[in-house]
Amino acid sequence: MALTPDQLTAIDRHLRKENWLLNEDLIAELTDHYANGMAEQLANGISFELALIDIHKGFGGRKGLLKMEEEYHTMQAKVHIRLLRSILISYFKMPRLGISVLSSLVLYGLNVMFPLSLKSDYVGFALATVALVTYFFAFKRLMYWHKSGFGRNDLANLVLQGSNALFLSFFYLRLFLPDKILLNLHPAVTTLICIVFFLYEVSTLELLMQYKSKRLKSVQS
Amino acid sequence: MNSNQQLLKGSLSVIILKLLEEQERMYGYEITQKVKALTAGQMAITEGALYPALHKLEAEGLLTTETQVVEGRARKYYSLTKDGHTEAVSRISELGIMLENLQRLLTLKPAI
Repeated sequence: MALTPDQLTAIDRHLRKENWLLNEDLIAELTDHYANGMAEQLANGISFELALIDIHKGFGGRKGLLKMEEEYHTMQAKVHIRLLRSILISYFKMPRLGISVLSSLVLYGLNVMFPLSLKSDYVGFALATVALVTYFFAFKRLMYWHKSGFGRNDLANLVLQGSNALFLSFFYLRLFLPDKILLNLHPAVTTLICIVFFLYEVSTLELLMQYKSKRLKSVQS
Repeated sequence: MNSNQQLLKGSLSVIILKLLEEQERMYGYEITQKVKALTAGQMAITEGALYPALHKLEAEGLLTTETQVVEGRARKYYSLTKDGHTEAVSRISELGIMLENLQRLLTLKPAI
């Protein structure tokens, strides 16, 4: 017996309003479970309210659901970190190693050709501004993941974001620090900083694309 | 929680891996129903135990998920990864050995 739209809305309200769940992916998964279980119970002549209580009990009530959501955040953070790590590692193995080597060479070339010229170079300054803006959006995106399922207390995630910010700050501090401090910095060092940031950003982007295409697939099917 | 459920909880991940070895992909509710059907209602997996176990196996990289829209709502299907297949064989074998030993202990004749 298929549930009516009103009954599905009631399940959604039950999960969000009455049980305070926030994670969209988890809510979608549980809605399907509730709907399946309740359809079966309704077919057996049990009322909607009683069926809802019965299934809710199976999840351990509100306390059980909230605990499940908290654990889900932690587990999803692990999934994200594992995927991100595997993408990052892929840039150090063939065939993607070629991309890393090529990018390093290009970045090294740029660092040799335009050493510390960002300060006086208008184009360089504009590019750095664009990069800062994109980083701001990247940070916002990570914040969104945090709320929608990216682990709340995940230390690894924190370290990753922290090191990313550190590398970026170091690189872009070139814009604001006196030239003499950085004049002796070898292009290889700045190239290393650039490539770490570049690979991290590319991997994060790929991870996001994977999730996006996964969701698109689900909408299309 | 009765003793039956306690035993079930301890071997839940193995049950999930075994079911997914038999059937390519399954969703949460389907797993609960399959266990109920296979054990003629003797065993019932509670939702509060099943989903954390599924999420943990996914985090360990043993399961992968895909979402499909069924009857107008999203349904999340779980299936085994390559590592999941290997781990399933290993965990099933380990549980089998443990059950054999348990059986041996339970049927032990008292020494005269």
